[in-house]
Amino acid sequence: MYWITFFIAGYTALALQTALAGYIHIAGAAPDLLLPLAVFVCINARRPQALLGAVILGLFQDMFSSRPLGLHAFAYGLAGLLVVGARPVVHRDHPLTCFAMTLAAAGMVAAVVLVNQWAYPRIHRLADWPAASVAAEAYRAAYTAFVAPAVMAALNRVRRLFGFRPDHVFAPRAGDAWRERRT
Amino acid sequence: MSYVRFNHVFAVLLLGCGAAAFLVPVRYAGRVRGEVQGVLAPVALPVRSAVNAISARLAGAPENGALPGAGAAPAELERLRVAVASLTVQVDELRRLAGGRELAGDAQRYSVPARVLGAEDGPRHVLLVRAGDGVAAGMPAVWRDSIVGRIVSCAGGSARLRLLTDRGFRVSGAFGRFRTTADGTAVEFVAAATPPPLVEGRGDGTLAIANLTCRQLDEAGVRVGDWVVLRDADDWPLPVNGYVLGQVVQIAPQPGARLFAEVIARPKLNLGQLREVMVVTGVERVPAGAARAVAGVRSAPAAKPR
Repeated sequence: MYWITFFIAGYTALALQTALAGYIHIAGAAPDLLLPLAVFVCINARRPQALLGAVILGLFQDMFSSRPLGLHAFAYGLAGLLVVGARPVVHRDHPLTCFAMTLAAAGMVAAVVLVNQWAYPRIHRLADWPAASVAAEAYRAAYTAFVAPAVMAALNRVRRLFGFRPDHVFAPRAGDAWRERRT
Repeated sequence: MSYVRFNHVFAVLLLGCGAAAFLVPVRYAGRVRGEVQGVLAPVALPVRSAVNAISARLAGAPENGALPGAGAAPAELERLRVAVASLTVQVDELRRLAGGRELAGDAQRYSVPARVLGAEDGPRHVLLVRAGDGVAAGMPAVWRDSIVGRIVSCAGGSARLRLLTDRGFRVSGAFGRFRTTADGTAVEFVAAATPPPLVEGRGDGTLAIANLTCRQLDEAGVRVGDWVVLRDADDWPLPVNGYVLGQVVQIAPQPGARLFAEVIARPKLNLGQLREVMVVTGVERVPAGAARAVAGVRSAPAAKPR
């Protein structure tokens, strides 16, 4: 994967999400535009790059969030593990796959966020910390999943700029051949 | 790197992030965030401007956060209203202080414009704004005749503006209404005779007042449609006292304590859709024309003696 393209895509998604905040709310929930990008990378990139990319996008999100630092990195990392584990059995380019994978990933992120929102004020004894709202996180997850096919369709148009190479086609290195002979 | 080694590194990374998310106080994170939040400006500013213009055109509302219908009052009437309310409160405070030690006058003169980059993700109601010269933490932000919030941190050319409606944002206010004088020539602000209401953001775009009894509100004649204005000369600069916090939309007894009332007020502006705010720095702003004139004088070449 070309990391420059990855960072430009992450920056653009984050800037759009920040700028559109307040305008694209439905029932108090705004979509997470970085998560479809994370799912897109996790579906297409090699495993180490996919997981690392998911954590980096989570850190991006953390930098522009009012939640504790590291929360989204942790949640995106777990969501990345989920998507990477499921990708061998899904049709990668199908819109329904985009929707289902994003919904699962958003559900994972929502669960982590809710646990954090419940535990954080108790650990740090904060009185005015916003209460955890299951409905708000559920709306956000569903909203994110609904916009995901559109985001991924746009990303698929520029897919070659990411330079993805699937796990099974990378050239074997000298060490790999040596290990094969030994085994 | 083999998958086994990567898995170990990834597990450590994930556990580190998880530990930070639960154990590191959010105030430490704020220092890191403040330095980087301005980097989104090249994309976020034009996108927000475009969306604001499109939204205004589609909704038929004036630009920059004005709610539909709120822009019906002529600008002159609005300006007069805020001047009346502001001066009424200021005069009261100045009488109380027996002197004009505090900065007085129209807050707009002592403020600088700050473009809004966008809103922070998460449950907090926080806007990211481009911070110009003189902007610092603790300064209030206003737009037109309304209080928007307060700057909570400022670094790296950007600032975080905590909105009035954020959960736990507390400020002291006053109820009142605008009415035309008997001779019909002027507008006056009549404050209701209640103890100071404690206005608190609820985190859902509204404000709540829960420290007054139903009887106090009845006796003062507070009703739906009245205005809640800022009245907190101790913590807020005097020029912004009298600025509007919101309009009363509901008065009901509190579910857990029937003697106390819960008053719900809604800000006049849609604070999440603001494109620009005025940050009250306390330093008088030089009008654009005057600034040009000064620059012209300075840059004018000296006339050659004949």
